[in-house]
Amino acid sequence: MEGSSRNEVCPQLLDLIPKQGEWLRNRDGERRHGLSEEKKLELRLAPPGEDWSMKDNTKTNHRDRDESLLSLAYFSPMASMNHNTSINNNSNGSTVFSSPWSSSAYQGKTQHSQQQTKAPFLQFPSTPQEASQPCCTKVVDLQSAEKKTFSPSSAKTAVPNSSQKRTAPAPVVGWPPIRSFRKNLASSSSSKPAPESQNAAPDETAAIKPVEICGKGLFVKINMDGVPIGRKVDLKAYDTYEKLSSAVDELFRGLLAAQRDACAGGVHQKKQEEEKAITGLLDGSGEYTLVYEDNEGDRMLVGDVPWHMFVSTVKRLRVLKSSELSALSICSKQEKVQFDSAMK
Amino acid sequence: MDPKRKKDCHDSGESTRVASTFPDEVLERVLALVKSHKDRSSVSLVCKDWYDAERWSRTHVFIGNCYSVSPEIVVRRFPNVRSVTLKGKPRFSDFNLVPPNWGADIRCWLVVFAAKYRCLEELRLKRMTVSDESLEFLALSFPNFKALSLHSCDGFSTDGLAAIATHCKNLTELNIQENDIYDKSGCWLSCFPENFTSLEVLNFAYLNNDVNFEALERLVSRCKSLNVLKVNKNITLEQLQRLLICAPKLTELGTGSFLPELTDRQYSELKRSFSICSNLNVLSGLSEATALYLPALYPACTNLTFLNLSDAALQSEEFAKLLVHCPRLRRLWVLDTVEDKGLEAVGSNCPLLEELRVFPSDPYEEGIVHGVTESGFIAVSYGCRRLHYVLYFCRQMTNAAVETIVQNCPDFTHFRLCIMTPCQPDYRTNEPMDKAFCAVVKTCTKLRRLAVSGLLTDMTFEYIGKYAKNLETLSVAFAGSSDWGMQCVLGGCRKLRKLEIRDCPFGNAALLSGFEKYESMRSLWMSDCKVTMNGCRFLAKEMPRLNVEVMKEDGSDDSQADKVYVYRSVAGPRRDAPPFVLTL
Repeated sequence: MEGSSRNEVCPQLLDLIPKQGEWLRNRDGERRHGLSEEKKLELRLAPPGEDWSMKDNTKTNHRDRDESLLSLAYFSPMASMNHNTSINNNSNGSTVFSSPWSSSAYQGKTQHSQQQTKAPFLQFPSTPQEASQPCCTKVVDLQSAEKKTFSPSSAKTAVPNSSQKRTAPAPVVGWPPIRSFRKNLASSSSSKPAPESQNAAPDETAAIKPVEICGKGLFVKINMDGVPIGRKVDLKAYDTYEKLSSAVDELFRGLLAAQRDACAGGVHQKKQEEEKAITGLLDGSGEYTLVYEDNEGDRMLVGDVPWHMFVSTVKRLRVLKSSELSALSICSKQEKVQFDSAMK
Repeated sequence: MDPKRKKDCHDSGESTRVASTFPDEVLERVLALVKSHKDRSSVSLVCKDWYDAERWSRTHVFIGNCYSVSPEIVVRRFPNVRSVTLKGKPRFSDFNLVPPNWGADIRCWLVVFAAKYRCLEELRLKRMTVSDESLEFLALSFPNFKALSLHSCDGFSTDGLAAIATHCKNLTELNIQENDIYDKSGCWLSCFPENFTSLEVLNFAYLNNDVNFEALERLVSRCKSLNVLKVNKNITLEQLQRLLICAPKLTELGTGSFLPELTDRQYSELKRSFSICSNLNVLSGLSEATALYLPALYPACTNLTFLNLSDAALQSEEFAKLLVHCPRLRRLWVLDTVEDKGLEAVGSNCPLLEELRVFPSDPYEEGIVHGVTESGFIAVSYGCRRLHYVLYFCRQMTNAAVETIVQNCPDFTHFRLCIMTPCQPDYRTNEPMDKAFCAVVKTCTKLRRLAVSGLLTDMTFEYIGKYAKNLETLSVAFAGSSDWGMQCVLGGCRKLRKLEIRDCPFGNAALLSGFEKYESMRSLWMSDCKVTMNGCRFLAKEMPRLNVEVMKEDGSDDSQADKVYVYRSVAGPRRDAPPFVLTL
């Protein structure tokens, strides 16, 4: 099997970069089946995070071996460089680096067919967000994803599910070297704590500091159309939009019912039956829709961005009547288009 | 004062006074004017008389590593000290590389000071562990106590601050900066007595709980000498405006939240308040500031020399507009949300700039990240030729860019470049970043502090050893190819004092190549390198005046020395080391 022979010839190399290894093995398989181009395209078009998360379990298998092999390889650059050059027949003359770390990374890339003048990662068809610097970002991705196995102290590093974050580097303890207070302050009103690995050590021992620096919950105001009294909700208590939506329902259901009764002029005796659940806040199907104001002062529809990003930018919440949404200008900036086609 | 000249005045071994010698009293008077502790150290080495004169006249002592000396030795040598600066944990503790309860507790120092330095007035601590009991003890033991500055300390809560506020009747400075504090409540501020008026410096910008605003307003009103006020984010703009009215003579201001929530009338009042603050030299805070309200600041910015925007995620447009009003800026701290365009504005508007720090707004890339690139740095270097201090976090860099930058600004004394992904090469050429740092050390002969990053081979360290003759502090992470790199640095950098290394392939050979050097250094930190326990033991055995401490991580190989901290000490091995710190 080509895959296994490749393994024997250069076990260090492939184990160094398990994802690359997977990728290479896939590649070999693809070549044989003549599906190489499509597969490559598949791999490339998907954001790197999602790709690699498929290989999560194999990564874990390799990690322990990786640590020791990696350290071997890392500190004998000559050895692995030789491996590189022997295998790297399709090398497009890319520079051989003294660090096997990057050389193997690039080696893997340059194994691609001659159609690419640059390694496919470097030519990643840019997703809109990374249009400006596809080259370096992908390099960053590769490097940072490999960071997981690099450090022998990877016992400390939390391995996030990389599919959650598009381009998130694997957290290495204490890197980048930024003070914790700065991490918390930099994203205004961010409630996201430093990656778990960083806090692991302090939490283990008896806490003289039981509370982390931004210890209090992230309370934001929430107002509802037709209800004069606002509430406050602790966003740290939730981790999905669905939970937030049901919390909003709980907060306002009673108040809304009270308002209706007050308007109707009667005193409601049977509160329970007359309370109507507030549903469909997130998809436009309900009577009300949830919107929020972000840190730039714009009104945005809740639900578009990943939860943690939402939490880091939200300043206050509003529950608006869905019928009034089209009448309102939700976006203050021309560029931001808020409406979901499903809304219409 | 030229030490050589001093030597000429005294014949060695002469115990009788020569006509040209100063009497002690005069000598002490003269030496009292020597402030720099480095100069004072030199003075004390001249001869015994000068040593004695120096020690009697020293009022401020700076201890860069609290374990290098014991409190008893300090008080014995310097009987008249009024002000103490102490630094504790290794700097990498800022980045969670040092487990909690490591040590550096101020307690034992305070006990000795309470006995010998009854007149202690100032205490400045960095990376020390301070408990509430210690703070209360401090407040009660020193009747003349004036200034407390706590930077990156831990172990205390706002109760400790309450004790300070309650008991220190002559307090002039309370500076609570970036600490890991257990923030229970804001009540501490209300503990300042109503007849307390001496405060000149108040910084509680990094505390999270609400303080009683009325109490704060009264405090600011009655402390007529207050010139530094940095409030926390819970103080609203409206409240800030009221504070400014009370303290128009402020020279340093840290605002609270700058969230635009004012009525038009309130906003005009705010503008007016800022316009009477003509003495402002330092401005910080501005959290959640947006383009809308920044113009209120413009009149206050004319004399600004230090603008700290590291809490304000400004975009390039509003940042550029603000800079136009800050022509005298010498120090600028900013978030990378301003992007390269913002840095171009820096180059255009701040010709006097000497220090630039660009912090990452999204270090873990949780959102859509642009940040700054090499272009921004280059733009600044073209416009700000006096730049000598830079701390720059970026996601890409090229060798050519750095070469250009140091050509434009050859006077760098502090060059700290952090390319945020470890081992990242020059993104254009895919080469290591060796050439960049080679250019830095070759061109910037005055370089005292260097932090390297990116993909680096031993070549970088060869150059550092060869050219960085004034280098005092070097920080290295994920770099180097072999022991040779570290050997070059230890062999070549004559003035090296602090070396901190993490995740590099340096092993025992490297560690031991410098064993004579470590006594002339403050400290060495090596974590996750290739050093073994045996190597450390050997070093400890050969150099008894060094403390060699190792911290091992759970699950690591018995022979590996995961975290090594080596420092010189006249106090011998630590007696308060926790179980996870092995003293060899």
